[in-house]
Amino acid sequence: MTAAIHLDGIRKRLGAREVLKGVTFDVETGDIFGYLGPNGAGKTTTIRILLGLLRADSGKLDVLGSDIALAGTRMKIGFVLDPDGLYDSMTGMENLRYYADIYGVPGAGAGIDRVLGLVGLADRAGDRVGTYSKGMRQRLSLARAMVHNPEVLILDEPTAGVDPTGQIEIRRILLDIAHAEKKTVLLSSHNLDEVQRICNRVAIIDRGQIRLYGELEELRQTMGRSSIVIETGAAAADSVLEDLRRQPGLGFREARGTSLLFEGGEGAAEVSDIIAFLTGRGVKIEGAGRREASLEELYSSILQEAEGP
Amino acid sequence: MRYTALVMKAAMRANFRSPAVAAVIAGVALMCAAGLAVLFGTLFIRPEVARAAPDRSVLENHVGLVMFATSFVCIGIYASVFTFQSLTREKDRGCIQALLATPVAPRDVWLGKSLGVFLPGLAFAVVTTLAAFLGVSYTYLIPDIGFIITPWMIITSFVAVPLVYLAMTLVVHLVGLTGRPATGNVIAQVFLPVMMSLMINLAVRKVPSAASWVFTVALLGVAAAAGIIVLLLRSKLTAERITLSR
Repeated sequence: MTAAIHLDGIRKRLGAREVLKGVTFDVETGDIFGYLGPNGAGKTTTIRILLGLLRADSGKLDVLGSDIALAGTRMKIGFVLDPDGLYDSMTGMENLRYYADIYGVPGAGAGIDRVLGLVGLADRAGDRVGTYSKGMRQRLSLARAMVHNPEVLILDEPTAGVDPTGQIEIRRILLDIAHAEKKTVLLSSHNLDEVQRICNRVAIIDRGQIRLYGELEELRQTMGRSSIVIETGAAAADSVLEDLRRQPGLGFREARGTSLLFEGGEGAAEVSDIIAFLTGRGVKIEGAGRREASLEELYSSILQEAEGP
Repeated sequence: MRYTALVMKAAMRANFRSPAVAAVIAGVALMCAAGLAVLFGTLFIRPEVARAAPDRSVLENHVGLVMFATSFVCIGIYASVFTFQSLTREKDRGCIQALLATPVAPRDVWLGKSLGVFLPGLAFAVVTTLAAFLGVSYTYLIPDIGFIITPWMIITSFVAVPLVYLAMTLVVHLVGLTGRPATGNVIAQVFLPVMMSLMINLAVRKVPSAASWVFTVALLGVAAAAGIIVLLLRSKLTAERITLSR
């Protein structure tokens, strides 16, 4: 695998604040790469640097092995930005034609029809963008990103402000684009569920530094805290919870409604031991199982770690 | 040049899609131009024509002033309103940022957007100035005197004034792109009345006459000064500065 996007030690200061403090990661060809972080973490600054809108103070950056400052490199990149940069007074078709002309797409008509079909906007292409819903605007932005058939897509919050149905639709389109059209995608998002569903690799940035980076599955296994979940008929009594806390060997973590969560990683207690302990205190057990750490749990623990004790 | 032309075409298309704004601009500009023509015609041209021996230089000065003022008002109002509108709207909506993420360079955006406002303004000014000239001529001068026109009047109205506004449009777009569009708008809004009233005051006192080469050269000097400002500010035109400006 070769890196479609390569960042090495990127630093950027905006005014008095150092926004990026040596950001390093690679997005491999064919990846759907999730770029996560809280507000103000440096995601948008990274994306702006990747698109050549800002210049890094130091560090090395290349996209498809070339300098992003070169027009030829930019021809190979499609993007969705926030705000979307669509012209309200133009129709969807005119917006796409404008960008097709900029990218010098030969025979743009067929290409435009193809991407409009891909995002499901063929029937509204003749309407002014000012009349579009937020979800339709985002889909048109995706079509614009695809109009010149780029190798790399850089997407900043493509589902931001879109209703749940629209988000599902955009996720479907993204997966279609990434798999059927074989694109490398860098997706910046706040939406952990979205990233978990569609990305194979992630980086989490916080306060300008990459806190976590790698294959999502691998990270879950090596860093995530898998859990043993015991389902009880009713919320456990306080006395039972107290008893559980007095037994560190059981690895009790927390109670969530009628679920009791225990440490599930290496060296954790046996499920049978936990069940025996609970039934001995009169707790009715309705089910038990293991659950892998979610991206949300990984994300929270990484950010908590970064906060310090 | 290809990108500049594409940005220019898109800017023109976007501006023409605001018919209400275009109508207001045209209405205001035409009212100003007609008002000036009637004012100069009634106060200065008609009394001079009524004299036993009309002074041709006085008539040249006032017809020249009508042409200058019409050209200046039309191109000035058109350029300042559409510049502010398009810069504010497109910066807010991320259109300019999106363009800069393509192979389009900041210089293409700047030139394309400036020309997209300037060229239709120029066409509007040329047509209106010709109409004002013919209107004043047929109302006050023909058949007694005939057409009053000198080469300097033509150069002033159709070359010097457009050059002043081309340079000013470039300055205002440069300031608006790299800083706040409102700052560029203030420059445009102050420049139009101050410059016009200054030139009219000078011409009414015949220092210099609006039909003289000095008047033309003074305007070309203003265009050159604005051009020097453009050259000095041009280094600030970077994608980063545009992206980070509000």
